[in-house]
Amino acid sequence: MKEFWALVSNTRGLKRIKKDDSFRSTLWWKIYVGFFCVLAVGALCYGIYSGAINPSFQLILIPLLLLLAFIHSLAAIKREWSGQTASWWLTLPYPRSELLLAKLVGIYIRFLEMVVWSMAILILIAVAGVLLNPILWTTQVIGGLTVAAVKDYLLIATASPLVIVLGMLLAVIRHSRLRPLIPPIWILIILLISLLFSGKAMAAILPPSYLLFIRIVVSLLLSAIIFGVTSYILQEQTEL
Amino acid sequence: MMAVSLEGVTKTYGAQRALDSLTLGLSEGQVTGVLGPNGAGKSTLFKAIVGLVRPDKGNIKVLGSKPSWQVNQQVAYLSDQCRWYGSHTVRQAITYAAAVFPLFNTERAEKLVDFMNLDRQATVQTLSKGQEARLKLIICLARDVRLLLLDEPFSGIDLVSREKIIQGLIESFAERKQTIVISTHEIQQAESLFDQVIFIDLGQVVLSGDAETLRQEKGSVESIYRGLFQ
Repeated sequence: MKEFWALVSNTRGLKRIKKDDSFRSTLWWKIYVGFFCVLAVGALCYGIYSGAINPSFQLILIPLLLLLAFIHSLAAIKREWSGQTASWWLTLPYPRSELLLAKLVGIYIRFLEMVVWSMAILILIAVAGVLLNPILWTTQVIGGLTVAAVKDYLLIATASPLVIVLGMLLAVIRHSRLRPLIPPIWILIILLISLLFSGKAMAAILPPSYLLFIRIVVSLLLSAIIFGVTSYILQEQTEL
Repeated sequence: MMAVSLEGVTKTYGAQRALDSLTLGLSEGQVTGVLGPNGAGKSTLFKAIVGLVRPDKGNIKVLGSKPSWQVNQQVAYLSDQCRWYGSHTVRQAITYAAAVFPLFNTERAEKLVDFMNLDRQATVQTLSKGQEARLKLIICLARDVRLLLLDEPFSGIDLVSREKIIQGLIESFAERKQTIVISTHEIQQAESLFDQVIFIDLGQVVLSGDAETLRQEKGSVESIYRGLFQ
């Protein structure tokens, strides 16, 4: 298990190699970053005060977490090649399914961290709304917002394993002999996600009370299948 | 006893034949130099041994088995084009290697870090090419494995780093008996390490034999290389 958690923690710590990031420690860089943070907070407060940022606006942000999870999973695999560490990774004395599982766990932990951060930001925005624009941000509105946010978080919790393994699948295919299949796979992914997570399409097939349960089961099942396929491709179809 | 044996191994990339019915054996407990010009098939040979490429034809046996992740427990491989994880410090690199590589000797790694003059707090990203090459070599040499494959370990490295690496290799050989395979273009500096030499070109063995015998018969390994490929 020691090696597995070392692989997980390495996935979480993998960063894009920057040629020169010494400028980040300079005073002028810190001043610029501080200035832009103050500007962003100011713009947010003004948006809330003027009513431009209303309570439902922030719900748009939650599904974006799925996009971040997808990009993060794609990048976590891609970085082994772009950072020229793939030869170390692929010659580790463990089955490639274990190497991928460690990546999956590392990416998922990072995703959960992003979820917690997003919740904290939503709470802060709600507090700012109540203080700056109490007419628009009433207790009733905040209550409704909380219910809607919980639904959205449930949806992303259901979809996230599938989205992460799809990102991994695409990244692995990109470095395998199956690379020409990427365009049709993209089309399949878009169709799959839109079918599974568009309320209308699913409601047409199933009664609403079963929707969440069915989504969870189908999403987990598909995630397991896609993970198996990805492991097979990394094992049998990937060369360096 | 052969640590690695290849029989009629062919590997093609499109129209290019990297290995062409290659048949060779690497004796156990010996240091073998695999020499040849660019594109001769040396790196493909190393990759085939660790299972990073699959031959189109032929058989490969590594320590008595087909290349696999299980066999890689006993194989340390340094690729010619690899980098170490840029966000690690030297200390983190050693800790990570100790966690993921079975038979990793942390004590030896620490000694080698001192010997190779590496700063434990420095991040890999800030190391020079030569320093990073030393770190990668340390990670390979600290593994108590039966087979060590070093593909171009001196490539693009300054003279001082190269001498440090060769010294590190010599000390490592003296400590334990491993099968070591080195491919390099720095023949003059590395030839004293070799027990056995294999010259490869266009994916085939051009000449092979005991290094000492070849030296007596045909002069230095470098002069044989010049004679074969000039």
